[in-house]
Amino acid sequence: MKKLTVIDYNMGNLYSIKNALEYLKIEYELTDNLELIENSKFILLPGVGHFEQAMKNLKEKKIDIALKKAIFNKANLLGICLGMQLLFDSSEETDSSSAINGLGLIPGNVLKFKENKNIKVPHIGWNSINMINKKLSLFKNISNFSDFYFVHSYYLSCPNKYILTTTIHDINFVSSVQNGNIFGVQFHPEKSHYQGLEILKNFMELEC
Amino acid sequence: MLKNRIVLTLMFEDGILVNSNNFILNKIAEIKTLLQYLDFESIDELVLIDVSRSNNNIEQFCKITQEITKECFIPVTIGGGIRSFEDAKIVFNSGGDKVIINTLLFENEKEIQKIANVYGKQSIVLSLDVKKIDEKYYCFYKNGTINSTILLEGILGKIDKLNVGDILLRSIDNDGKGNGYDIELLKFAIDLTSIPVIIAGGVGNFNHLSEGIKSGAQAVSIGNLFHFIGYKMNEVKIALRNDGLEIPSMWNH
Repeated sequence: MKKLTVIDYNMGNLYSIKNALEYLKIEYELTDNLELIENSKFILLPGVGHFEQAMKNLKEKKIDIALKKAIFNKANLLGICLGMQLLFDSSEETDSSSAINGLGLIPGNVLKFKENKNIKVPHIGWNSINMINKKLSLFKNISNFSDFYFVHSYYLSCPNKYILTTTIHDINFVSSVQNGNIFGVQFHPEKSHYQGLEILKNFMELEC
Repeated sequence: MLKNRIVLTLMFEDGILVNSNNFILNKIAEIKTLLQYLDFESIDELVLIDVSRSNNNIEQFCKITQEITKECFIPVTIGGGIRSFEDAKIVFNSGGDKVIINTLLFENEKEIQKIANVYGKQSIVLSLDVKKIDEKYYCFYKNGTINSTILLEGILGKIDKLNVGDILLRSIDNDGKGNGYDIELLKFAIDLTSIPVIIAGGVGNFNHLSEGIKSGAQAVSIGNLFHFIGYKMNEVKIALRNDGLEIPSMWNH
């Protein structure tokens, strides 16, 4: 049976993710064990919080290297929310003046939403997705313009070829991505009704 | 674009589901009965409030909320009896996405800042329980039993400093009456703040939901009405979407 490795690196509460996986009867293990991560075929990188802190935690535990080895071994990786942002080259979410490096698994940068009279930051609530690429294994059975639950102050900008869906919050930002076996969603599938659960289900149905 | 949302607010006294009429409570169902008919498909956010008049115990209440949210995959807001940062922490560790603050504002405001610092202001919902006396809106606390003697405009005037993400605006006068939200109160409040308002109290039919959103509420709360029509909420949602309201889609609709 397929087993999902959920990366535990002290970034946010995993209660809801665990609850969703249990409901879907997906076998999972919450871990920071490097050997286990390297040999996983399905990896979930969750995360809520500060980008800089998250990278620090990953590096301290050497999970960044383990993830790269797992990808080299053809693992399927899904990043959720901050976990998605970490997959990219850099982020503006740092206490220092220049952008901070991410995992660099997909080309792209994470930028801060600029608040104005049209929008509030953080972007929080239900918003719809616009499917850019129509052959989406991750979005199988999900209709275009479905709504998902978002909570974030930073957004992703990346080359078109990696974009699965976009979402409008004043600007049109990237709400999900794919680069080979590496996937990321900005929204919270575990908080997005059945369409969210479908994403988790579809991910586990990928070939390995 | 961000959608308006339909919020289901359920209240509990000593572990029993209650309905509320001018904040006076009537016990109506055990948790296990509630779970038999509760369907989250047509709602966008769940609010669970412990309104026990004595012995508020957040740890115990969170055991109940965990039972209720086991098959619930939408944001969950939990409150009632939050007296400290530690209480809020219990909520977040029990699967709550947001915590409701009310009495804390009047008794220990500093704790709100502490919660915001750790969990972010988007995780705090400030419940303002309002009663109109001599043409003025007064904010009440402790489940609407105590008049703070502070006017609504007094709180909304300093709300940006409070670090809260949403306002749950509850009309004590309209609560349980079924005659619709207090639209005058809603308009009064949204003129004074840019923080999203969830309007609550008084919804009796579906046009009321529509009226709330069209009058500027970011979200509309439904409580007592749901106890009677729960399973028909799907149809309501489809009707509201057909009416042109921007509310979240449902699975396969």
